[in-house]
Amino acid sequence: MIRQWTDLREDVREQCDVCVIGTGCGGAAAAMRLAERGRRVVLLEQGGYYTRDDFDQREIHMLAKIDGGRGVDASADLSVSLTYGNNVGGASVHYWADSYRLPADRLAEWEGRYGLEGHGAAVLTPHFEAIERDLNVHPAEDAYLNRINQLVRDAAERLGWHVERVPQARKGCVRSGYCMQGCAYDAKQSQLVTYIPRALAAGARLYADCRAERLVFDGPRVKAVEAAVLDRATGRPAGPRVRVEARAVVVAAGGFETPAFLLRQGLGERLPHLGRHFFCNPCPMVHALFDEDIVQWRNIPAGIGVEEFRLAREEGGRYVEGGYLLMPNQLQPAMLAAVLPGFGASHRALMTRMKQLGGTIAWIDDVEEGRVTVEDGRRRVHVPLDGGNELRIRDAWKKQARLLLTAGAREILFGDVADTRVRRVEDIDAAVARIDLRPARNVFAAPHPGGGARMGRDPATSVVAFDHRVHGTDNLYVADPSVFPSPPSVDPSLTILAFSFVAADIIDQVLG
Amino acid sequence: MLRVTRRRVLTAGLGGGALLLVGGGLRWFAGGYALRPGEAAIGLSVKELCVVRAIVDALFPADGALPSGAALGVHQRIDEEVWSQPDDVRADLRDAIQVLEHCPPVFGFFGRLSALPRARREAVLRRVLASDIDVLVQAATALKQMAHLFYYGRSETWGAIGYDGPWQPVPQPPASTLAYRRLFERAVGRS
Repeated sequence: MIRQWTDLREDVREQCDVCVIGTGCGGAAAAMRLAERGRRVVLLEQGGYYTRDDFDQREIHMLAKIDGGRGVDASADLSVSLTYGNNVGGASVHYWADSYRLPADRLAEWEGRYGLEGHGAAVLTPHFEAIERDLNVHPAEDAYLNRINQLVRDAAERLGWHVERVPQARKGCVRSGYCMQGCAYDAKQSQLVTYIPRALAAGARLYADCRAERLVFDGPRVKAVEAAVLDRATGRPAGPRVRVEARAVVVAAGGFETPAFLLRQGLGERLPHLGRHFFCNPCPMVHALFDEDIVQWRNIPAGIGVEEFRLAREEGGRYVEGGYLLMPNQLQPAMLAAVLPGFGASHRALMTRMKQLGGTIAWIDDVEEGRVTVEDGRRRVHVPLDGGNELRIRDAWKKQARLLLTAGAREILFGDVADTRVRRVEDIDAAVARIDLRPARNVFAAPHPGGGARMGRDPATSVVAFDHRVHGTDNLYVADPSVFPSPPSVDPSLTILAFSFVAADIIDQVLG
Repeated sequence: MLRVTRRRVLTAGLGGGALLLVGGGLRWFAGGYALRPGEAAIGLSVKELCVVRAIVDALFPADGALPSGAALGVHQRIDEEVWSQPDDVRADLRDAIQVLEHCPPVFGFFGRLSALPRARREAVLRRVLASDIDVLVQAATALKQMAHLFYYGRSETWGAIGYDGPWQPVPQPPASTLAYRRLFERAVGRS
């Protein structure tokens, strides 16, 4: 059962075993697994319920429908554009379908450095295998490689950089290029077409356009969740309210919203690390002008990934290079226009050559921790672009420029407000050194938030225990990337799903 | 989203105080602004819509195969976006517009941004983006990005940029757009 804003004209009261807040990878997986085990599950989703019939591939329409903040949300100093979902299925509806397992070296770090328990390889591997079967995950085939993917692959190989096919969660992909606008063909295996339907088929009830606002506590137990029905046209409360009384509550509102939601419940007072250790993979992008047609907006975004620099390299304790995954980029015309530098004649000159524009993007493995705060009721995301993050950003710019020039680009554009460009490899270092990193001078996207409710043994330095339960509560859990101790260094969707399977199994056991 | 508040402008250092002196209280200084036929200020004030119209005119004059931003109603679409945002983001965007309107004296131009000839408006915006005043760079960048998004999101621009368009034939506007259109039609007397 799905009920949405036009169905909800009066207050609703529900009772269930588990209330799940959020329907992205974390919430959908937990709900599906619990519902299929016979638990009564109610899902609350702040955003709307959209299907393939609503995905018209017009960027402006789709930003308003499925992008958090309608696509204009940004970090506190406006340097980083926050990318998240606001719809049933969450960010998986607009994601690229990259489906990496958590690398062994990162799991080893989480276990060794952060003491992670209960999520070792023996636990996660069967979950990864099941999820890959469920989502039809397979390496990108040759037919998935558009021209920029081919050029980046060939250039990386010429440079001797390790490059791999990106595992894809797709079935019957028609290669339209509109992954970020929601798949109108149900080919991309988002949660909307996989675990949400399974949860519903197993009896889960879903309330869309319902913003969870308050946890009702009775001592350490959450008794109920109170939510406001939103008028989808205005995004404002419509009047009716939904109250869900549950034996357990799972918060899966995503890496930006989960810490903010918990802070609004007053949990920051006794969990001083709530909102801290935040990361988001700030992504510097580089554009390139080629002499040949690229047509970046067609086919899938990233069929190949350059893994050469995924792990940072240091010598004598000093940073040398790396600390990011590097991929071809894909932008449709409106978003491309928004992120290209300048305006007027120079900008128009670029847009009229849009067919020859391609580029890359790098997911920085944050080492400087950010923070999610709530100030005057408003969520603010603080993303540091200095220190170790800056070193990685500048190196990523250099590597992207070198890669694209090797690929045959005529000119490289760094996209900064000064419109820094280079045409020769020997000019890259000096150009990158000049790029101004003060607020709003560059374009960064932040697609992979997490860490703001990290796992740990000690409530003085963590927010949730290794059983996903919020410290100091009996039945409040978190099942999304907020629990990760650090960035996974790859797309996090499979890791989120697997961790949520673990959480669901624990909750099911606890409920008895 | 934006944090362009009067307090930030005051503490912005260079030009901050001058902005407010000249602006004279910014929001209430609304003289000399008028809507044109077929326009409606729903998310923005009349003054703010006029300022956005002037900024859009500077960013997108008609140029060969590319229509002007005014012809595509980009300023009206920005009004829709402001209306659609939560109250705090709406306030930030409105403050950003106000600050830009009153910033020209900081860069050696006398008068309000919307009252300047197009070439000078363009020059002011370029100086803003090159300046050391973070709050102004943030305001201008946010509006520039939004304007370009809504301009090139229009099918009338696609032929000139070589974009073959969506594969889905029928547009499906979001609920917010449909609601805004009803308000707009009522405001311009076409309902």
